[in-house]
Amino acid sequence: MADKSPGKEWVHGLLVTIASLLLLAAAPQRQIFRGASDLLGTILSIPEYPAVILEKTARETAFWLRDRRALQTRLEILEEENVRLKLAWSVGSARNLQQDLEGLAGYARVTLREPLSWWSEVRINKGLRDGIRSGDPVLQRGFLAGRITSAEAGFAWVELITSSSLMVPVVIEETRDLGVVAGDGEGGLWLLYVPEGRSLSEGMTVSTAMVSEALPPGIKIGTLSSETRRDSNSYLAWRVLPGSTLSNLYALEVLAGTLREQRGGQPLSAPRGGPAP
Amino acid sequence: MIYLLSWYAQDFLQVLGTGTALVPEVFLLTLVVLSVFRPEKGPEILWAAFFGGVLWDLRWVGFPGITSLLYGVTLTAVQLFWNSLPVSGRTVPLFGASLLGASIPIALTRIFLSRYREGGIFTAWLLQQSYMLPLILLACALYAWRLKNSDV
Repeated sequence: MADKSPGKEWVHGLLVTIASLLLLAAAPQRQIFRGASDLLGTILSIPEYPAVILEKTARETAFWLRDRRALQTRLEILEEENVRLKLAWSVGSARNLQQDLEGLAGYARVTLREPLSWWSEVRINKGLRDGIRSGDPVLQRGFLAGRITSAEAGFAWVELITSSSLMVPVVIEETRDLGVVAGDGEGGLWLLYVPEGRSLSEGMTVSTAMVSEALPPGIKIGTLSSETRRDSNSYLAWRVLPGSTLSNLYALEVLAGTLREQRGGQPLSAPRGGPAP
Repeated sequence: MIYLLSWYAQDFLQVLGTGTALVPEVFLLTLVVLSVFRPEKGPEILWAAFFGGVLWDLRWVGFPGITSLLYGVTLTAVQLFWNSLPVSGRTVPLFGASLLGASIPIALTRIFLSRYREGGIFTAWLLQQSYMLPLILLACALYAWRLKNSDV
């Protein structure tokens, strides 16, 4: 390291200070320095150009990022709004459907169908007050869909024909063969107790038979399909294609009072209101 | 050449950080380091500081004389202080303290002359010092390396 320098610093420092003070004293006279300042700006604009470009790029990138963030936020808000609107529309649509169903005379709306007993039972919004009694047949689109198993003042439970515990005596209209239709609890419907060798075929109509007091005769259930299975040595079970669409069950028609009329010797009333297929 | 490069570096940073932050005083730090490393060039460095300050004022401040005055006074003080020290007392920490001390007057003046005086003077100063700290540490490392080599 060098030793002490001769010590002229203070002289030059003093001169620099004096020169600076003189400049400061002249600084308010702006016109003196304006030309120099402009010239310097012009000269420096060339070496400063890369810095200007960099600064501009950084600023534009920052703006772009900010705009993108703002757009993202806006998009999220719109998506949330869209979900809310869809939900509101769905609720409104469901309400309209409910009102439409309740406006149909003679029809009961399905108010409960539990997943665990999907093919076994449903609850409807009409009951004893509407003249519905236990045992009344329930139709959909003119086809048998089930039976009332219990009725309360404002609602009733319907056992569906696909329930494994509901067995309905039926007749094959083309051959007058009698049998029993029962569900398998999984959406399937089978014609049982028809002896092997009977000339049944696909497409034949299955209706309720006049061998039961539980259901009035002549209500269509569906048609035979070609699928069969062997239940025992001498009986074949035929799969029945139900006429009612149990996977699209919103409203049901209850033939209220048909059994009372039948027992009282009155003629069987026609199904009310429901459109026949 | 080194005077021009360091001045240009500071000017470049000033363009980059226009309106956002105080730039580190690269030019002044370079002159202080040169004053320590090349004490025989003391007068030349002082006049370089003067002209660099004038250019800076003309380019950015618009009030010629302020920066050159501060640069001149600071450098004269640093040179007198450093040259008055015995050789054994010229340690690395003292060198770092001299660099830091030299940057404080000009930094405070810039803060008071700028819009930073209205909000967060301390924050603006700390921010500028944080930019300068790596440069000061680098200069200290260079000085330590030079000390070690001169001892050998």
